[in-house]
Amino acid sequence: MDYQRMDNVCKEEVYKSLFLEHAEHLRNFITYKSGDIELARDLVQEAFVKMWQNCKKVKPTKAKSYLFTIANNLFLNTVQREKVKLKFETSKSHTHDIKSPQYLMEEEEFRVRLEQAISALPEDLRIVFLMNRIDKKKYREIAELLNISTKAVEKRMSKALLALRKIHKNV
Amino acid sequence: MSYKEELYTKWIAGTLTDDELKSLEDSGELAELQRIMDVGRQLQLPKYNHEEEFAYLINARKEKQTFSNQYSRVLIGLAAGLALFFFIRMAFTSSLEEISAPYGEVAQIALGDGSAVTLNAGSTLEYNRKQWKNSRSVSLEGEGFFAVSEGTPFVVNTNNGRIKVLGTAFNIRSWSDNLYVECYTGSVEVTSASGISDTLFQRQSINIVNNTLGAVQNIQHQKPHWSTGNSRFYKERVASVLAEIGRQFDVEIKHPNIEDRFSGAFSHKSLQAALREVCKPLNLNYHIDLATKSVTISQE
Repeated sequence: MDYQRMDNVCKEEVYKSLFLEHAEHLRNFITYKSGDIELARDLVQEAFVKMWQNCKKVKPTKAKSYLFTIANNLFLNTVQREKVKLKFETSKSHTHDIKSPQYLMEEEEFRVRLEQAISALPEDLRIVFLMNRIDKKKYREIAELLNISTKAVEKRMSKALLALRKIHKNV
Repeated sequence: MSYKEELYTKWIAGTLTDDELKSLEDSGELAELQRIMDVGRQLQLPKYNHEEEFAYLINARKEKQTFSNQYSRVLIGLAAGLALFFFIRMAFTSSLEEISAPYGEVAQIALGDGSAVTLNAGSTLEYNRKQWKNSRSVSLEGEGFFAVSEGTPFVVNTNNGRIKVLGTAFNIRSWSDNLYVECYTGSVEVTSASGISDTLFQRQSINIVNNTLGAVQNIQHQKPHWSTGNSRFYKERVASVLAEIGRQFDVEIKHPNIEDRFSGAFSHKSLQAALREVCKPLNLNYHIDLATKSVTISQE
């Protein structure tokens, strides 16, 4: 990625590749926080407009953490907190060939319970868990974006699992 | 950190010893954790349409740009206006003071004789500083809370009428063709633009719409609601209520012509909450566009 060597993000190609690379993760991040996907869409737009206005001051290598910081600030400024309710879609895994209806039903029930439990997680745990699972981000990268240590991310992940494991007992 | 949490953290970091791993396996926990991780990995949010979102973004960027262009044009206009203003001011050595509260803020003005005015968002007060000792007279466009110290008559002129007092505390709201006055202490004389007057005493209010005086009403509060961060309305036209939201949150509000009246209140803390308070009882939908600082209201 040679745009990483540019001084700023004022070039349209640089700006667009940054958008293609980070916009979706940014939307997901705000959605995990707020549970409001439409709000997240708006804030992504706003964060990128801000970056365009300040394009001379932003280095491509710093763009990702710049965007996450801006989006986070925008979120803190605008939103009034409501109970988060996340709605997911599932990617069907095609690894197993034939599944019994019984198995599929159980799987579906488990997924629904897991979704509810994720929504009920404390915000900091939920964000770490979902950034890792959905956005497939490494713990180190999550740590960088949230401005915490990798160790702290691993701890949050373990706390999240501890909370989520309770649903097993009820299935 | 509990033992379990520590164990899980090690599993996540990949630093479990063989023994620890075996204990997790034997208790069946490992399978459970693995299942959570696997199902979690299959979760997705709705698809993000990069091309469409990028097109929106380019648009939003342009709008911001034209907005700032317009802004600079306004600034040039303002600068020219200011230059002219100072020229005229020097030529006639008048000392007209004009103070405005920007959208989303209030402004406090001390008038020198101990009287004080607090202007609500988007309101303007004008008075002649040099003439102040001889005639205590101000012009108000919008809404202001007045605490007037005793002395010569104090007059507030608005487009919808005149309010005359000796020493008292009162609030005036004068937008479009509507004048609403609340008197908290002392008494005030309210005269509509068409010349009809009425007197308000302590804890009384009057509403004048298009030169028609309503009945004098009793009120309970001792200072205007807006000074405590709320806007309250009683059977108010929806357009006026939305205009107040626009002034409080510095947003542009587009709305269709709505016949209904609104009774209720909104807090100045959150735009979303304010819109919800007003729109829900009237069955209106709203959409906030943060990029352009505008709100679109539609009927269901």
